[in-house]
Amino acid sequence: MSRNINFKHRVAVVGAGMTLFRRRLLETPQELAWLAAKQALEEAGLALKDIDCVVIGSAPDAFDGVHMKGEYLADGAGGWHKPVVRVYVGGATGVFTPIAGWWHVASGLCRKALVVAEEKMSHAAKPHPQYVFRYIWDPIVEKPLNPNLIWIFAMEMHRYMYKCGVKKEDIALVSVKNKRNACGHPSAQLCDPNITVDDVLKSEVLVWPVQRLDVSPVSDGAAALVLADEAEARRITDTPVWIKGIGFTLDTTHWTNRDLAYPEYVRRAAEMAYRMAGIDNPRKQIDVAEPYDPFDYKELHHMEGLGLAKKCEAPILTREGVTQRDGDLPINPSGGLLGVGNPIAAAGLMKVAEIFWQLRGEAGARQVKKPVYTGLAQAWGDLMQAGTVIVLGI
Amino acid sequence: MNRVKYFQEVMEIEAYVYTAGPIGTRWLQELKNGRLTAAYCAKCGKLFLPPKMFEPETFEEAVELRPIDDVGVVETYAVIHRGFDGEELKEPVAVAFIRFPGVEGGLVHYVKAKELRVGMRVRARWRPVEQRVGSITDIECFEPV
Amino acid sequence: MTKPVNPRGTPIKEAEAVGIEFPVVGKARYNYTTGEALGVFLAGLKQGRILGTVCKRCGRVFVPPRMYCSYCFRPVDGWVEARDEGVVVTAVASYIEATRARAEKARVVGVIKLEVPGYKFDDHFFPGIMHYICVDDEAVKSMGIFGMRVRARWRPVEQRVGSITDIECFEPAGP
Ligand SMILES: [Zn+2]
Repeated sequence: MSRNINFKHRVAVVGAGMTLFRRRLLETPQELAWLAAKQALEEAGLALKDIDCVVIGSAPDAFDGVHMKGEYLADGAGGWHKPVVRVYVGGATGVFTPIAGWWHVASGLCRKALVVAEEKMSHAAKPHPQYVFRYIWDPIVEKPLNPNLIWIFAMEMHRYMYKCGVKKEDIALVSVKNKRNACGHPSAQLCDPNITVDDVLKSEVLVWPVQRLDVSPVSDGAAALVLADEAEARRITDTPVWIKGIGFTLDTTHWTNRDLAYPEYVRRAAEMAYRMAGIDNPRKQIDVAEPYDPFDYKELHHMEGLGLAKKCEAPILTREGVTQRDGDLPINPSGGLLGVGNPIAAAGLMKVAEIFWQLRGEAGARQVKKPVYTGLAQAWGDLMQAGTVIVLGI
Repeated sequence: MNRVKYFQEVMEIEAYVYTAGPIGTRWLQELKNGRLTAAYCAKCGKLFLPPKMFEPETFEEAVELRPIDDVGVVETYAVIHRGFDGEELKEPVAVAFIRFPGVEGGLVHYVKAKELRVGMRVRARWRPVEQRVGSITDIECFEPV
Repeated sequence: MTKPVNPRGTPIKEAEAVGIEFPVVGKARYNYTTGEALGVFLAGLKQGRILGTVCKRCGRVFVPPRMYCSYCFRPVDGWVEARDEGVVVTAVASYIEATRARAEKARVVGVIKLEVPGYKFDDHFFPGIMHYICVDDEAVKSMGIFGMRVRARWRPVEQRVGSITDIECFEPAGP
């Protein structure tokens, strides 16, 4: 149980839902939000009238091509005539959304909250959704160089490879593991049961050292959770999953002034969440984790930031099979962003849903082999800046 | 006085491609056929516009479209005198929020009328069949009944 | 049973997307101002100098410069000039354009940690900028580029406009 933190109510996850993740879906963003929200409510056995407030997460408006996306999504997310808020911290949004949901319920403001994340990247069709990311760069000192977003991640990956002596073959193992894991996920966009390291290394070179199969895809999709305070949660289900700790941090946007080999923003967010959850040895106390993996190296990088591996140790654990579903520390059993897909905010929330299902033993084909009691989901965003961490437990 | 330096930049996204969703796509197809329809919620019996695959109050799925009369009532309107760049328009343009009897919500559309007033009954003026593309603009405007 | 059970959504192919294409006819035009610190920085580039600001309380040097120290949360104490020389901290070779189209030829880009006479910096906080590096992409693939000493190749004075592109690229400075 938590320590050092005084809050009014314990908060549980009592239901989760999501859509298919695909390159293009016919449904409108509002309708995607509704499909996920409806499934989460049904899983919890609740109706919309039971919900007190709604928290929406969505990344840049420029993807869906709809401004004030929070307001736009509100009725699909169940926010009709209810208190609604939309949160946004770039790619870290998906895990930040249930964090914001947590403080709505922990504070006593709401007893039951619906948490919904949605992204429809296919709308930003021409020239390419990647182009939208152009507007995250500094307009004065960076944009005149005509950057592609992948540049910075390639720079971070390469620095990590250099500092830790990691080979591309070792990093590709993450992509292989996650795309194979995704075959057990009914929503998955990129399941590939036969993919090999060689396939990754032979895929199109985008920005060396990043190749196409090192990167998660462009996706449409939505995910949702229902949160409840302790009294409500016990009425709703015999198997609530508790939110034991939350953490979030921002680093500076001046990314050219700091070392990229280690994600400080994740370490700080994790420390905040661990302090609240009473975790002092994450490698021993976390049974299953869903670190953010929009790129394969990011899973390794984030495992180290989360303290699930020592600095430069994550590639070794991966090579030894520790992070496989039947391993000692299963990492991204869902298939992650590399396998399930990456509708940005929805992908982060999918990770929290995965931990919820894993801890309830409901992941079926994806259920990890070892018994699991405590799990973690993490996301990251902006110019390698934002870290968001949530610890769940039963 | 200092000269201010500006960095000019044009947001060069070429185009967005939006989809209308399962029911919205059919709704547009009906417009192409010259028929105005509304989404129908089987749970609460409500007809609503614009159509979407869920009724936001009951949160139930809506799969059916039902034809409605293309005659509505002006709920409110505005008259536009200037264009996007602030330039004076040759002829002012009126847009109205139009409700349809028995239907929740409504449509925003152009209205062409000599004297526009709230409560006025207006009817859709459809484009010729060969010009219709499956868009809200297949209705050219609304005009007084 | 595997959760999620029957996740919904209607996948479509691009070709069959009954899309409503909305061409951006009137493009959004932005006018960015440089602000105070970057204004001075760009004026310096026009003269062939790389300027930074310094916080005397913590000793940090900021390149690109800002008006405040975000660590001490106080105004910076003044300006320093960095050398137009430094070492490559990380670098990549880009084969695609910002639009995701294939590039005609590879472009090497990286982060250069700059030297400032009288100051020493560790790996955790340093004056550094992103720029093109005029080397072959093989230097990136072999990782030989890490730690390479590079120097700014300036555009001729008459071509400079007060932009980061007044530096054409950084090129190997030799031993
Ligand atoms: Zn300072």
